[in-house]
Amino acid sequence: MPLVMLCPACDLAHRRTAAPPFGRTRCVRCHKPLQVARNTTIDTAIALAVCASVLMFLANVYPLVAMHVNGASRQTTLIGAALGLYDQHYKMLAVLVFLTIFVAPLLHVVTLLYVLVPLWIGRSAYGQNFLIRLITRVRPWSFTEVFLLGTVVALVRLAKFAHVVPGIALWSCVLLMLCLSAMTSRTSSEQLWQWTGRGGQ
Amino acid sequence: MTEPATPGTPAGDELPAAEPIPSTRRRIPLIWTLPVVVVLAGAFVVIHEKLAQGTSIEIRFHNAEDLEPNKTKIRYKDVEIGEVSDIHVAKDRKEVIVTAMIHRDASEYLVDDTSFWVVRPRVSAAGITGLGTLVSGAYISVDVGKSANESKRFVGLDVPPIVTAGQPGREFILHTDDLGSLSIGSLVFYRHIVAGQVVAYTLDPGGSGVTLKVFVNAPFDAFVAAGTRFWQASGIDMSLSSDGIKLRTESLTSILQGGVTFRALPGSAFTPVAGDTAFTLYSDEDRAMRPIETEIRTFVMYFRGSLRGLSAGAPVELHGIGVGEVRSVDVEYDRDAAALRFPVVVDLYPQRIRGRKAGGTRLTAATEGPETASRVLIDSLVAHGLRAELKSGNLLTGQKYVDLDVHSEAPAEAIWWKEQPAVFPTTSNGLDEIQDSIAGIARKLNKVPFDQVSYRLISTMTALEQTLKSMDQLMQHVDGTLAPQIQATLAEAQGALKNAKELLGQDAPLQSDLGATLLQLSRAAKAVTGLVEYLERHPESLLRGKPGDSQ
Amino acid sequence: MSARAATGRSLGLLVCLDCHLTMRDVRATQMRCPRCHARIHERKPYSLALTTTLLVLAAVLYIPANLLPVMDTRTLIDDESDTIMSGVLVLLHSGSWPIAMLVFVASIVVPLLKILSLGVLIYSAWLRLPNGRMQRSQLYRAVEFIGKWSMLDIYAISLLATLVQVQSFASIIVGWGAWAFGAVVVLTLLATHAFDERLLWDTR
Repeated sequence: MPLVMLCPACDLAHRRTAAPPFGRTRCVRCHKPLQVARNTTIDTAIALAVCASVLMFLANVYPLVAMHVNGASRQTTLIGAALGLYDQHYKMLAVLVFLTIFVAPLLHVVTLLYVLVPLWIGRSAYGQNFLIRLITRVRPWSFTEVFLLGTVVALVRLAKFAHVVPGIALWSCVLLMLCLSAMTSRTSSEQLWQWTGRGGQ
Repeated sequence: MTEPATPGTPAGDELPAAEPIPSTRRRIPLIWTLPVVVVLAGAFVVIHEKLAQGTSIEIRFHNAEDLEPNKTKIRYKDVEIGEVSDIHVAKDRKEVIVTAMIHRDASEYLVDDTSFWVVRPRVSAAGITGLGTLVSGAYISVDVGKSANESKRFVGLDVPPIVTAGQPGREFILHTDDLGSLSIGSLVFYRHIVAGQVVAYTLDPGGSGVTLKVFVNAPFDAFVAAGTRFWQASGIDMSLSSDGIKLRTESLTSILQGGVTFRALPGSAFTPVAGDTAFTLYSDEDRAMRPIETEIRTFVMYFRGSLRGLSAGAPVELHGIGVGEVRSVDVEYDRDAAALRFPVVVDLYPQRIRGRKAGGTRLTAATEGPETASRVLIDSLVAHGLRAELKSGNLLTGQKYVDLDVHSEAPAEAIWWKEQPAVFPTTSNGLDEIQDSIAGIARKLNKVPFDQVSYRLISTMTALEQTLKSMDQLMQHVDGTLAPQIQATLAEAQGALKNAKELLGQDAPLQSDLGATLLQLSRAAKAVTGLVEYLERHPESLLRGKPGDSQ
Repeated sequence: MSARAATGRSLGLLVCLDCHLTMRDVRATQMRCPRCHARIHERKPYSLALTTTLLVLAAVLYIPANLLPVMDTRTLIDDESDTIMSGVLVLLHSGSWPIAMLVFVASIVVPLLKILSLGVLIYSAWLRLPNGRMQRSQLYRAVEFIGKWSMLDIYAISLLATLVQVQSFASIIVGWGAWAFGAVVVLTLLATHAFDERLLWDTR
């Protein structure tokens, strides 16, 4: 039995082999990625997570865009964009936006750091199992890149009649997006479990 | 397996084996440069933002009308220097505390006499301002003060200051009885040009008058000198006096909201004055421009006739030239003479009459002594017949004035200097005699017994008149054919009239006969009237006659 | 692939969907992964039923999401209500046609394709259609991947509505279409998550 590993996508049984030296292995039938390389260092992931946390701070504390029209000007932060919906009494929609552009990325980064840093120094974090599950479940709900594209669309529409100035938060958001996607590709479920030392399918 | 060694080459066993490259495991992987860079960049951004943040200040206003956090801007000379970040009600609930972030480079403006006010659409004495804020939203404007002390707490003004710091010009103080139609912002004119504004006013302690502060802009403030007079040029200055109706106005603005004008007194020395000098604010140009009389002599005059139309302030004129002013008109009861008297107290300005002695030299205070010069002058004038008389200045308004003139036929009189004030001799004018004559004629007419004319005469005249009228009508109906009755009646009437004529002719009988004749006449008239009435009812009887009558 | 391929089901094995650990099936009512303590099921419970329900809801809400206005632009002189489609046209007319295409694809095409694709997947899973399993599997992964991009317009609207609140000049009010649209996105995402990919490969 330990010699068999199942594909979670098509339930096909595979002979268990050692993890590959680099790259990944995949299911022979449905091509779902299965195993990860055994020598990926944890440093990259932590470094990226640190970057991401700094960028998240910048992206939320400073204004995203400022709009100047006819002497009046307004600006908003990331959270302000979600609150704007709340003010217009679309509470559920505001909560959705808030969760997907603030809570999910935040949980992603913070939880990852919380889990990986102890692993880096050779210990396991308290609640590790639950948290690794949390990371993989929360991650799909983090829509930073979609938000950025939406912001671009909004700016294009605004630029028609107002002078639009991108703020620090916008550039941080762009970098954050790159950071998060780099993190995601390096911290798959299998990889995380491998780092815990209890890896293997 | 060993091979025979070729000469010159070392033995196989002595050949070193290639060694593997030691994997130099970096203590710190290269990837860490990325977060380091990012952290440094982030720190840089944070510090930069913090440094560029500027100062936070507090401004207290009465309410937060038109102010919005993170939206309302703060501008100095229309350049944005900050923004309102927070607004909340003060603990004592009387004020609103507005917290604002001022840009770094504008922090030098924050001194303790800097003032803040909200610019919004406003209608004031100076006009309508701030209309632009209807579109762009209200903003807070700043006037930077001159103090050297920094401050972070300010009290906002309710209205924009009239004068901003640094505006060239000077302030002056004006005293007056009555504010009139002036208010803060009312304009100050010089030669009809807007030269400044009323900045503030307060009631004097004790309520005895009003003190105003006006700000006169440069370069007009240079024209305010020692001899400058200020007066209220508010509205329309209309005066009804013995000179007639005078209409004066400064400008349309001053009609609406009042104004102050100033001008140098002609002939006054031009000595410039410092700012904050006090002046009197006169109520109109006449009063303001009146040269200060150095000598005033008060007299009392007694006039016959009605004093109606003579009021305090009416002029005293000598040949049309103003030499004095009526001060008051009173009523006096003289117990000894058991009569009412009407003293008119008059101020004369003898300075206006230049006295000359025989030989052409002038009578001045220097030659005769101050008191005596004018006394001598007046005495000699009165001795030659100078008398005071009430004349009607304006028939339209009925205003009267005191006219001084030399009446050569006047009986000799002198001034009673002993009385206080001295009594000036008066004379009466011809108007009173005319009034008397008219009154006499009226009385005579009253005596004619108009009510004794014969009543009968009047009624007979009326009846005759009526008859003639009816006959006229009848003639129009008939076209030529006259009934004998009419003719007879006419003949009778003619006869009667003839008789009347005879009676009233040369040998006219006495009035009693006239009475009889008149009786006859009236009977005839009655008959004719009756006939006419009958004919009107039965016009066919003209042809056919009365029933029972033969043609 | 031959029909006699060994699957976890045939071998009595289970795989944890969270940590991908393979384990023996003990056929209990509730099972936990020994490594990550997640709940284990042979297949996602009520997968088809749940997915179908969520999909139908999403399909129903798709209509008001496109018909109701998502954004109401009020200016001094004008009051414009925009649905998603009219917003695309506005972008087209103002010359920014790449953005217009982007919004069109993300907000109109993608949700529709998702709904249709999920419908196809449910259908083929239910009937256990034999051919084209690989393609359907790829279709599922594609649906999973592009799911979130439909949120694009929602973010654009929320940003516009927050910024353009210059009371006397212009203000943007969010409309009910946006709410319906958000619901469609969430529902399709949940439906995708509820669907068990392995059903596409099951033969019995």
